[in-house]
Amino acid sequence: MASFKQLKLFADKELDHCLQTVVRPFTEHVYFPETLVDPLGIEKHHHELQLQNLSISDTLACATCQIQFIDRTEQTIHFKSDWHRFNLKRKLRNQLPFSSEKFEDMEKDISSISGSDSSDDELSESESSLNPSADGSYNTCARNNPKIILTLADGRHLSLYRCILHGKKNFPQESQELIITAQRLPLCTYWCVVMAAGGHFAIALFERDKIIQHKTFHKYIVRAKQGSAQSAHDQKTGGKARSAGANLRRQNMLHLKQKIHELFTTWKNEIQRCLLIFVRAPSFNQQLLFGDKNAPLSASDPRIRSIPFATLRPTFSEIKRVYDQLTKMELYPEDYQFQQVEQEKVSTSQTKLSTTKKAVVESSSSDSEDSEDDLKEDDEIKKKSTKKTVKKQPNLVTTTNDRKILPVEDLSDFNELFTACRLNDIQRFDDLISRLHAIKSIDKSPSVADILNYQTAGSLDTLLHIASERGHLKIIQRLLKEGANPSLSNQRAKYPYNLCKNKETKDVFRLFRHDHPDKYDYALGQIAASISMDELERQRGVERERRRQTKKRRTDKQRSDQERQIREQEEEQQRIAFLALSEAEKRTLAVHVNFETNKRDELHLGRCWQCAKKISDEPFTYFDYKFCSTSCLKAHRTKSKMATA
Amino acid sequence: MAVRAQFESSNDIGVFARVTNAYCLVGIGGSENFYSTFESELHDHIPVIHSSIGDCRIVGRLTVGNRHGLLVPASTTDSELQHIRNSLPDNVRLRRCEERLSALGNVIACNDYVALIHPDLDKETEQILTDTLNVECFRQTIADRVLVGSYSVFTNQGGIVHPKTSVQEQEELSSLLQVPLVAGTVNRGSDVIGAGLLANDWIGFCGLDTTAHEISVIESVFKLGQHNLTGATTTATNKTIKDALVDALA
Repeated sequence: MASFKQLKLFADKELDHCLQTVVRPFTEHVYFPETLVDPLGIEKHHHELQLQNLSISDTLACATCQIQFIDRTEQTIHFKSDWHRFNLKRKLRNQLPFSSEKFEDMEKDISSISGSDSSDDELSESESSLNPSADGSYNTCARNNPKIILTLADGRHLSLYRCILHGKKNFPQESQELIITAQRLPLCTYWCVVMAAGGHFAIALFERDKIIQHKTFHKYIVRAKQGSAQSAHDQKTGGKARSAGANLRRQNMLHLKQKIHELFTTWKNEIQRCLLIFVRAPSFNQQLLFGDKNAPLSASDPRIRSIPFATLRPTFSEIKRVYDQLTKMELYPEDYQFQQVEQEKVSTSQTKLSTTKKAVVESSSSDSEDSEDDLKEDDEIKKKSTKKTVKKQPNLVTTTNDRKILPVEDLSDFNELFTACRLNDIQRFDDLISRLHAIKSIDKSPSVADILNYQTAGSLDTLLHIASERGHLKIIQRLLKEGANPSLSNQRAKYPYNLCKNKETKDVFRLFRHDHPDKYDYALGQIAASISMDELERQRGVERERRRQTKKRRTDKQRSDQERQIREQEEEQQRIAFLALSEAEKRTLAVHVNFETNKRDELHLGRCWQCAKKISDEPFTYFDYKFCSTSCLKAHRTKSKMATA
Repeated sequence: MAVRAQFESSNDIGVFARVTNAYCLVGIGGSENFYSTFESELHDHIPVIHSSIGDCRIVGRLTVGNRHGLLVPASTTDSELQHIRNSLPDNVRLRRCEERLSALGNVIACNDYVALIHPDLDKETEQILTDTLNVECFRQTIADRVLVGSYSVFTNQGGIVHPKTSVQEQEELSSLLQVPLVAGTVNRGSDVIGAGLLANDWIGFCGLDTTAHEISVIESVFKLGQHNLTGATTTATNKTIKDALVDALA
């Protein structure tokens, strides 16, 4: 594959010559009108004329198949033919049409030339990366392919980064524009590369392959460990962080911005002279360069280009690497097969992206073959799911790969059973099971158990999973009796028993284990030890008793709480009443109480004169007054003094 | 006459409505403004039907129809189908079709006699189209684009195709469809004609952004309201054509 030659812009004279001889873009010309835009507006005039005499054309021809017809019937028949359809698809793939003879020959070889032929589809998918997409524009093509391939006069091809020719905003209107820019490329010698990321900033000015000036600096603005710049974090959270570090980073951000501005003002003339400015400023860094009113660069500047490949931290060496990469161009021989390259590129990138995926596909290739009769979509979903499980829990592959596949007619039965299980429709479930038994007694192939143990595509849930998750006890009982295996795990490695909604559901499994101790591998299904009905009843009795006790305790507590509350309320009322009394009345009351010491009136004995609280301990007294605390006493004394004064 | 309209600040009105000579489907929007535009222009002649397709309001892109019938995708729910059936005129056939390319409006463009279809459309769907819509189907692309429904609009009077359609291709299509065609744009230069323009034999609707020049092209190619353009003599004939049409539909 190393049949191309790598050239460097400004360094290799050969490249200059190559650029001069660019004839047309290799594929992109399809996006541009074939005719030149005429400056005199003749086109427009033509348009008007056309509108004046609108008529139904009598052209009897098909441009796709390049034939002419004699009459309308021939025309309509042709447009419905397979030949026309085949040529249409070839045209969309930028291939030349087949003549009718060639097509007939081919038709003999291939029985089906239907449009949805699978091999056909695959081809078109892989080619679409290079070929213009059917309804795409130049824009989408440019986005998908960072490199553009230009054809030279001598038939060779030159591949270079598209961003050198035009930016993201100023797409060329016609292929001529592309060619002219390419031809002028050797004259375009002053380049500037600017990179800003994570507080690092690097800029360099290049003339041909020498560096005229460069500068790098770094400020601490990114939150250590958490990541993301302080300014970005502030925007997200509303600028709440008040730590010293946060302030430091904010300050640094301002410094960085200022420094960049200063740099750009001092280098103003040099940058003005640059014909191309390559910028990499992800996320918040965009603001540093383009954000302000008097920003160093303006986003609408036609010289601004983004760097179309991944870059590392902005350093001087990285900038040099970027420049090196940008100026590199590849020269391919005339008969070079770009399709292949593209295909391989696609496939390598795919493998790079997911080596795990490949492994899974290989491991599950055997079962995907079996599953041809299954629904295709199911298969895809399943592959995805197996991939997921491999990533998360590699030990699960074995269980997922065991999944049995049902023939289509049984799949519909399964679906009905599934619905019945979900809706707890016991009547329907029984009907279905008895019907299945009836059918399977005649035709032995997959047993009822196979249907019952079928794992749905994607989640790999069995009917038991569904029923136990929803706590449909009777359905679970029936399922277990009919042979649904509780030791099958779903995609998240959960067994039906793990999903049980409540204790009753669990008990159903345990009871069944007791009744049929050897029917399934209960230990694998993580089902708790078996339990007999009597034992269960006993346990339930105990449980019920315990519950009754707790309930009783609770009601008792409630009652006592209520009583206490009432008592407190009464006391409060009395206290308020006592407070309202005058001093004299209080005294009479006290005397009255003293008089009947033996049967003390609880209500008024030993109330504090000041706050009317009940005095629990030895009271503090002066004269006849009694108080609960010294502070009350003091308060009372000062008050009485004030009154006397 | 071509009327400018907007669906909730989107100019792509063709996405949310489908207009034919016998009925008009309008997606359910937040406000009734869009619906009212159609109702005020059309309700004397044809039913304007509020509907969703598979709970989506992009009815224009999902359905395809003419005065003979209406084809809806498999995603249409039974209740929607029932509602549309109840609202359509009795002589219009309604059919749900199981097609992989479910945005029928994007892959099929038709008038009352012919239809252009996506090259990959099922043979069965083609058959259904012929039966339901009474049309002759041709597999074709427009300016190398397979979404013929998105990039062209044509009625029994004329049609507009994608601006990059070459003159040769236009003539070929025109002779195939037996209607005059022009290459043009809507919505201030948008090439997605199907999304920006709705038309039947006597009225057109286009996005609010459509320029006066674009409208004049639309009106002349679809032969809409020529009484405004030329003298009074044509007014009478135009009116009789329209009346005859309406009578035939009623």
